[in-house]
Amino acid sequence: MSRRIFVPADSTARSLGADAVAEVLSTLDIDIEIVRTGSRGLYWLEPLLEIETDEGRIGFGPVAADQAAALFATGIPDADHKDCLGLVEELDYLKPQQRLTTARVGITDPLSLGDYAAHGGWQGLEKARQLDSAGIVDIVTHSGLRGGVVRLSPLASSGKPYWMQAAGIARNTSSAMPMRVTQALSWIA
Amino acid sequence: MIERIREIARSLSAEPGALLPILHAVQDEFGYVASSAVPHIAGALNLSRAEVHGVISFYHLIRTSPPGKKTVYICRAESCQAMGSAALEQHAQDTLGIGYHQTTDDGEVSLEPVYCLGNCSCSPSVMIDDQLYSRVDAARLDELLES
Repeated sequence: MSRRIFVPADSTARSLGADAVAEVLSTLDIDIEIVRTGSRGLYWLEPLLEIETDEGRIGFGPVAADQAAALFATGIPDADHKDCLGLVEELDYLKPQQRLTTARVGITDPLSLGDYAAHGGWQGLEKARQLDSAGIVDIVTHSGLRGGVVRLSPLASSGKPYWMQAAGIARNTSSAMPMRVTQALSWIA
Repeated sequence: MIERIREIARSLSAEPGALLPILHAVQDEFGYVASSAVPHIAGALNLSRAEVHGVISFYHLIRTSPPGKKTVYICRAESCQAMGSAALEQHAQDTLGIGYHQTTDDGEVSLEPVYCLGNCSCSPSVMIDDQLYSRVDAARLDELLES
């Protein structure tokens, strides 16, 4: 299987030359798969190129387009390469962070449902499917979730909104609301 | 051009909130929204010319005159100012011999201010047409303008 190389494709990484790096990598005669991800937000390291290894993803950065070919001159560089930053997850800045809404950003291809599923996606939906409508309403009520869906008031104090009272939420798949409920479930999962 | 604008307006008039999509489509095709287009767009949407004009003049990114071959947007928001964008815009204006909202006589470059490109971590930011650039100083801007 070809080794996966991750190159961010978010606006800032691109503004720092990530597209050109990906372009150079795609012309190399090496068996690699280039995955365009979001950015982990370590912009001083962008373009941050990550390489899949058995130990985890190792990083190189910033990598300019004209350095990319040299980096791969003797094959896929490993953790012993002089420019290697080590395991990206272990970087001082990243390691103590607890990421929630951005947990997958910089790691997955944001358009890949396979990546999404492999990194904890669909859990809220799975959980919602085990519950009946009343159970879903209950869990959302107790979440204290605020936002457009509850008209900026906590559910617990204002009572259940009309659309929940209708109890059609689990069946009404054409509405945006069940998505928000599953989102809520994934946040409190 | 007018016939084509009428066609665009007709094709999008059934969209919800059709005015902005129409203005975008016209600008994508012609580079700007000519004042002569206003009555035709208004007619297609059953709006007054004043309403259409109001939307066009509200959004700074909608142009009412033809752009140069390249449009250079320099960010003037807080982060970029803190990182030297004032000097950068002075350099751009001196080099190009134009001010903001102007186009060089040879029709090559238009210069526009922009207020935050959302790229604050790598200020100063410049956008040339659709391409964003980070940490742009005078030398880098010259390089970008020459390429």
